[in-house]
Amino acid sequence: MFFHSEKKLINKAKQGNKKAWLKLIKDYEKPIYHYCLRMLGNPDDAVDLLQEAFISIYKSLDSFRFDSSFKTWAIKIAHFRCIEFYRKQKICLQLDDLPETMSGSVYDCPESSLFTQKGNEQVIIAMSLLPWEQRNVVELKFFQHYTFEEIAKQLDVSTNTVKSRLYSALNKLKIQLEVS
Amino acid sequence: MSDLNKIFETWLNTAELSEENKSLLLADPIFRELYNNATHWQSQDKGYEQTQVPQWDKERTWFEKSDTKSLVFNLNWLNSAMLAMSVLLSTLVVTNTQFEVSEQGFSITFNQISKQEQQLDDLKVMLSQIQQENGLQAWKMAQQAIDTGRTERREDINTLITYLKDQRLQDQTLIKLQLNDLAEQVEHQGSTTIAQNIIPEQ
Repeated sequence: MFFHSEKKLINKAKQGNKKAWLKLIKDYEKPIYHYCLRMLGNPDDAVDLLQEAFISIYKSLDSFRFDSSFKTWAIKIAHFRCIEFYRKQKICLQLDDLPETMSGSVYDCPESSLFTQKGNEQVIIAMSLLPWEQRNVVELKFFQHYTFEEIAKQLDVSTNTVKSRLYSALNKLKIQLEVS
Repeated sequence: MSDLNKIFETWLNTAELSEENKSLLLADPIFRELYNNATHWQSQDKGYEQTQVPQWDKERTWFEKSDTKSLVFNLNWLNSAMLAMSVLLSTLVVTNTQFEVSEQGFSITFNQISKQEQQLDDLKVMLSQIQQENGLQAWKMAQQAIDTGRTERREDINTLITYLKDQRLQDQTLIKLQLNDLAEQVEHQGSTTIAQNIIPEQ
């Protein structure tokens, strides 16, 4: 089956067309997976969350009215699933008496070795060192390119809170730029 | 500092930064660090590689959706039927349809238009009569209210006058008593006071 445009693809998926839906997943799984990975710092958790996110996206597909890009809308849903995921994790960690930052990460390494990691790993480690609220803001600002106002609306906080969290995040990691 | 804050925020929101503003930011130690860190994060975004997603079960995200088309069709049919029934009922009421069941059978009669007009005229007459009566009653009530108000005001004024008269009487009585006291005092003092005032001869 050949789908001429994304809109057609989405409409077909809305009607329950399986092929259309799987095509849609193929087109958008990468950005959503990497969003999950940056937020959770763990590929296994990221894949679990990816699946949950797409289930929610499929369920909510009828409410998508093409007033934003599909990617923006899908990331928003992934964001809400991510918060739920994090809260569940936090409860488990509290019960186990472990610190808040994600433990058991494949990229678990001390801060000092941050600079020896490359590319994606450096980002994921850097993000995992931030508290959840700051990580949220950094992701939405630098990777999803939202404005302060959009971030404030998404997180249901004031713009001043968003700015304060971002500045704290920027200060937290006094990253010394590697000389390339 | 607040200017630098504004410059920094504008740059974060819009990516617009003139050379002059950039040198201002870099001249301040706090904002230099913030700017450098933010630039680093931006470069991380550009350099971030969207690697392949690990294998996962995509099929589990899909499920059969209920036949929305037939549901919509059913709802539409129901809506149309309800609309038709409403129209029918309204027509029956407006035309004053009467159903009669007798031994001979079932009959439906519609009132003639002239009868309806007569009924309408009667209603109009009744309505205007009721309106007139209401008007009359309202006028009577207003008159009553005015009269009552006048009477009450008159009574209040009379009460006030009576009160003032009483007060005046009391004041006069008090003054008389005081005068009597004074007169008695003067009588007693009389000659002795005069004797005290005589200047002895030298």
